[in-house]
Amino acid sequence: MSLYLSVPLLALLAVVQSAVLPRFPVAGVHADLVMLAVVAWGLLKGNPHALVWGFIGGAFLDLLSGLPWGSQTFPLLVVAGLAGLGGAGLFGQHFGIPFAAALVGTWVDYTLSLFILNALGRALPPGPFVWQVLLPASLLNTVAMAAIFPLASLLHRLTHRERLEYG
Amino acid sequence: MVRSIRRSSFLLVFLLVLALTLLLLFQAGYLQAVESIGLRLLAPLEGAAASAAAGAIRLVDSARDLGNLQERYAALEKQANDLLVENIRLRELEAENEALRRLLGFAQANPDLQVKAATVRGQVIGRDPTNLARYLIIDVGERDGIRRNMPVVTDEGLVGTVDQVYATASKVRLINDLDHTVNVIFQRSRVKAVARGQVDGNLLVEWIPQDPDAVAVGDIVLTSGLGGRFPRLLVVGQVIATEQRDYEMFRRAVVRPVVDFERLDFVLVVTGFAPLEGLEDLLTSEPEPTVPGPEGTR
Repeated sequence: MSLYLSVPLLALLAVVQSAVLPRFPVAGVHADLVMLAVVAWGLLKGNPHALVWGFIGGAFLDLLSGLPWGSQTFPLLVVAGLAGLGGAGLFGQHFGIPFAAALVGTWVDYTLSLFILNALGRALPPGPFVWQVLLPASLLNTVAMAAIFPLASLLHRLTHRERLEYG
Repeated sequence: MVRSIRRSSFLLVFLLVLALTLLLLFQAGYLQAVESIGLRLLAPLEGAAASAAAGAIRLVDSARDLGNLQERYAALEKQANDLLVENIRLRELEAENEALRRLLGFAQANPDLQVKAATVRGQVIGRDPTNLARYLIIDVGERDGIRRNMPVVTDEGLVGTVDQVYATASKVRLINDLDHTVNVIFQRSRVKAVARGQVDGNLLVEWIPQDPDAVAVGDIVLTSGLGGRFPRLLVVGQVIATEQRDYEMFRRAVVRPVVDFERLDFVLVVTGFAPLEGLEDLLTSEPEPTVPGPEGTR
């Protein structure tokens, strides 16, 4: 999929994550829509597509967040890079891969964010962070992947066909 | 294959360096213009999404309310009667209070007279997209006279502080954000302390004296006005738990904010008020506990 489509799509996902999802919290947290989209796209397309999505998605999250720039882009780039390895077929084709990727992606994303924020002087207490943020968010993201991955697959099929027609 | 991996590795390194550069530029304050343009482009989209979400919530609420309409009507009727009685009593107290203030020469101490706050109404168009911070994005900014550190309130109570200002939008740090502190006073005991945001969305009030009467579950917590960052006597929340350890010099209390941040659609930004530093000393005779740390952001 071209950048002309990726940028508005990721902007839209970031806006939904900022304006809509926080109104419907589950166990005090909301799903990380952009991160899930990046992970799903990485599994489907591999690198370097995943990396580009990771950077653009992270930049939009940083724009809408009150946290310092880079605190979302950095972790999302790493998550995208790891998911992109899945796109290279490194993790096989098991149906559980997207769910496992969502779970691990959340842990990597949040843990890196925590380190960056701590380095910038914004200390999050590790205990409450794990129990009240990381665990509920990773469970919620894993469940949400059941909806995100099929949609990403559909988008992948559509854009792939487009490329074949015009390529 | 090897070429693809090499290309991806190069891209990863390039993007990480770019992200690091952005981080450094942000820390140095050079990204303000870029953020301002970005938010100006995204704000209408966010406003539309927020309105749609609010509409959906209202629709669900209305459907749920229909089922309980009869029950609520009876409860509201009773509440109206109670409020009528309460209102009469409060008017009496207000009149008495006014007279006493005049006699004491403290007319200016009345917060309704003293805090002549200018406000700007802003629509909440977004919230922090991460689960790691608590911010609101509102659709008023520098053009509307908004400046950093201005208090943000609703008719229910204190919401937070303006943290980042752009031309047409602002980011508001909520009072239950981890990096937000506010000087508070317990309405019943008049004891002053400091409230700090917690991960679970509540506030932790620290530096409460060990006096057993200092705090109790159900106590109302207000802004003390100390430090001059917030108007005094704004409702902050209600105590839901207290912690006491005999070996510690101070007690702690957990406070639930009165404002439902998830349902907020509009807020008021207090663009000007008269800070009342020192007035509290005149009105209360209790000794003041030491209030450590600056108010607002850590």
